[in-house]
Amino acid sequence: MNANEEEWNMLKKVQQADFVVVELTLYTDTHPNDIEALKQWRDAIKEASRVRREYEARFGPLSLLSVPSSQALDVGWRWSNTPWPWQR
Amino acid sequence: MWVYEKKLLYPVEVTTCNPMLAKYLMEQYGGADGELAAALRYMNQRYTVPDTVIGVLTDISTEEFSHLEMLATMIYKLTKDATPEQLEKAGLGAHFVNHGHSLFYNNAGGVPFTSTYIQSKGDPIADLYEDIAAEEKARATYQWLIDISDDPGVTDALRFLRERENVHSLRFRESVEILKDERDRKKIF
Amino acid sequence: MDQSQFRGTYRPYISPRDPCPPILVKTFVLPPQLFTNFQQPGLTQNSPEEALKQGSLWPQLVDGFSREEGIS
Repeated sequence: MNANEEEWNMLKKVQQADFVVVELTLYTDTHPNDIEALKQWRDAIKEASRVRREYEARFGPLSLLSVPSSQALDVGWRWSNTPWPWQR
Repeated sequence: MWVYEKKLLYPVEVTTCNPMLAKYLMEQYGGADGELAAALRYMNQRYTVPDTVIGVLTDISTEEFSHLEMLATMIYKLTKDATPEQLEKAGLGAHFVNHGHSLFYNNAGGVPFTSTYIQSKGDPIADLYEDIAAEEKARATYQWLIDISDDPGVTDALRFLRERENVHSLRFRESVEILKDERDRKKIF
Repeated sequence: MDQSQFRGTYRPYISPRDPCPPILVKTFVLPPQLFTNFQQPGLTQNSPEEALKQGSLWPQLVDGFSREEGIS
């Protein structure tokens, strides 16, 4: 597996975890008293942030809500680096 | 405010250089029932709906912008390295002379986006019924796009987007039910 | 996936003067949300991987669509 493919696959994990959050957020918007769902929603956010940290440790922040490591800056990672999502 | 995420909602893979398909996808990019119309419609209605449904409109609108970015990705990839001759053959000659290789908020027929595609009535039921209809129309558009697409990667992304319209439609239907629960039983506060 | 519960059919009037070969039965979509005005709590869920693939966390909201169905 080359580096590009590995990044694609790790990003997909982030997309999967984030999608669960998207779905549960919409669900809890219309089901604000479903305690089980609210608990799962909280867990899903935790899981999504765990998967995201894994990706970001290797490939740099996906948003400006994540702190870039100083090593990332040392090896030339910049927020404005390619590829942008539509270029991948 | 919004914070940009440097990733797509769904991994889009385009396999063909296919400006003709790009032209058709513009229906969902800048068309009447497209993602831009949806995102702007909900984002604007949310200021004057009952508090119980503001969250739904805000979150669905935000997701629609991520759908818009998926459409842009597909259109961009399908036309990126196409020659003017290829664009012309695909019916994008007029688009090319006005916009070059850039994207624009047109529908598949080249008609530019207009805010007359959307409405905000200040009446929650009128607005939510428009929103349900918008989701069903977008779902239907995705069906016809799936029928006409000859790029497997694009078809896969369109299938995902069509399914999201089902879920959004259900959330708007639920919003109507939530408002029905507010029926004037003399409330004691 | 059993789509038949989310599809309707009708037989359109056929004229002997119709220029295209007639389609005798027309199919249309009756999507899942028509039958669930308010989602019940605790529905079976997809795995995160399957959810992203299908486009929903809940298989009951997924009806799928493909050209092979021949709806249009």
